[in-house]
Amino acid sequence: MSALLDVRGVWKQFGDLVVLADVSLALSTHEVLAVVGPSGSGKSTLLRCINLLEPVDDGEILLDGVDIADPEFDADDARRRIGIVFQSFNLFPHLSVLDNITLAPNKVLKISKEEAQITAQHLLNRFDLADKRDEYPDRLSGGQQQRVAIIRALAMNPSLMLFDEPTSALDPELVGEVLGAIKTLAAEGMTMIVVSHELAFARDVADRVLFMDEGRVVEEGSPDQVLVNPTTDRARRFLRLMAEVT
Amino acid sequence: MTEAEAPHRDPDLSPGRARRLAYQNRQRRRSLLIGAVSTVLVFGVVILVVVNSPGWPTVRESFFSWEDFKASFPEILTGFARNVRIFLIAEVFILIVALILAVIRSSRAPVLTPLRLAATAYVDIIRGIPTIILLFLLGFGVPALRLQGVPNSQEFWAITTLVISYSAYVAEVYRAGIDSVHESQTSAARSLGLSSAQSMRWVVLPQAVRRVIPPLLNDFVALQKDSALLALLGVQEAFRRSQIYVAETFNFTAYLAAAFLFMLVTIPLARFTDYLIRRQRERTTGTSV
Repeated sequence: MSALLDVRGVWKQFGDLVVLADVSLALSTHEVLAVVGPSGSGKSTLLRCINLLEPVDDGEILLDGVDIADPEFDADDARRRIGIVFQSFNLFPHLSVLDNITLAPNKVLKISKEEAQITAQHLLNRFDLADKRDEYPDRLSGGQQQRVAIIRALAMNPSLMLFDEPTSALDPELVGEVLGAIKTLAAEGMTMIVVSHELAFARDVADRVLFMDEGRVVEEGSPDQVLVNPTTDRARRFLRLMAEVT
Repeated sequence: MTEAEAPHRDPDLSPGRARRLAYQNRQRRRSLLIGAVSTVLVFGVVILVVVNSPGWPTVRESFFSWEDFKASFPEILTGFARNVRIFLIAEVFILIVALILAVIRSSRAPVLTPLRLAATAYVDIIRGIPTIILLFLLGFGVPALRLQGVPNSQEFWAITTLVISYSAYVAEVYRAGIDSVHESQTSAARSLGLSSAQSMRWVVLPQAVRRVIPPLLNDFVALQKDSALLALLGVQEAFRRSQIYVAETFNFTAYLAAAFLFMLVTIPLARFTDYLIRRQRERTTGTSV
């Protein structure tokens, strides 16, 4: 079985600081990968590199067997096939919910406005936001904004979705609705990488878990393996700390 | 999701609430009174000093003559119509040229490097030259070349000068707006597959322009006043007309008439700008202080 995404030996440095050191991972279609680890371990940078928002210094990122990290490759083409949801939502404040969702399908995929709106409406119905279609982002709660951000990414019909700590900026009582939306997507077979501090959620939704520390993949395996019986000291220490917090 | 009912207050005032309202009212009346008294006092003193000055009778005669105001006004008013036409035409081109300059300066595409350097040099040089010198250079210099196919009208070169001069300033206003849009907006746009030009057009610029509308209006007020500079090229606008009247009658009231017309358009616009700034601040901070 060939992988949908195959990251091979990726390096990334900001100045003298090595953020990603020889990171490799593979993901097949319909698989959900959770990435956990202390802050500063390079998880977010990894997602930004996969989505080509940051150029990598070395290594390969194969999407459907094609190296999208190749400097010659058209980055815009790769990005439209990979959706990303940011920690801080990043909705467009000057556009209504509907226009946030239809902008890229209309401008990038050249889908007519009407057709894009029909797709958007379906997605809004599915995620229980139909009554918010004409609102502006400022008027929505954090949880609603993040669900709109998820829909905005889905509207491009991506083959891979990346979630960069999607609930970290939310009030505790709003975390559930966003995790619920991600779970729905996982159940429908969306291929995803989720960076999250919600370990219970990661255990619940992920097929595999990756533990990162200081830019390296320290441990990788099934959720139970990594999150319950880790073999490395660093993973154990991290899990103990997380258990104390929650 | 069901909405919980919002907290509701009994219309009957509790003694505590009534006492607070009464206190607030007293405070408000007090500040109004202080404001009114001090205003009357300050302006009263100024007027007294001016009116009692030794030269006041002559000044009143030559600057505040109602007769001369009435006599000069129609001519100046037709001249002012020309100012309006000039600053409206100039403003349209300024907004367009400045936006192009700002977008070029903000872009990072290597293909645009020569253009970016040119735009930077343009902004630096033009902002360094007094508008009045530029006006003389273009207004007298270019028509003197008697080039084929180039307009020789001084009004044309006067408008061109205003466009050249103001677009350099306005470009910087736009650029500040573009810089104020957070990078994460560009990241979000690019992550959806929008090209860098599309991100600029559909995500960054709409937000940037909205934020700089008050400073743009501010520059528009300045432009309206600077349209009087055209008198120096002999364009028959309001200030030029008042100069002619003054030269014929040796009475300066005509200047006041011209100034009055300028204020008639600039002051409402300036107030409107202040209103927009206040509204914007309330929106972004949620307070009215």
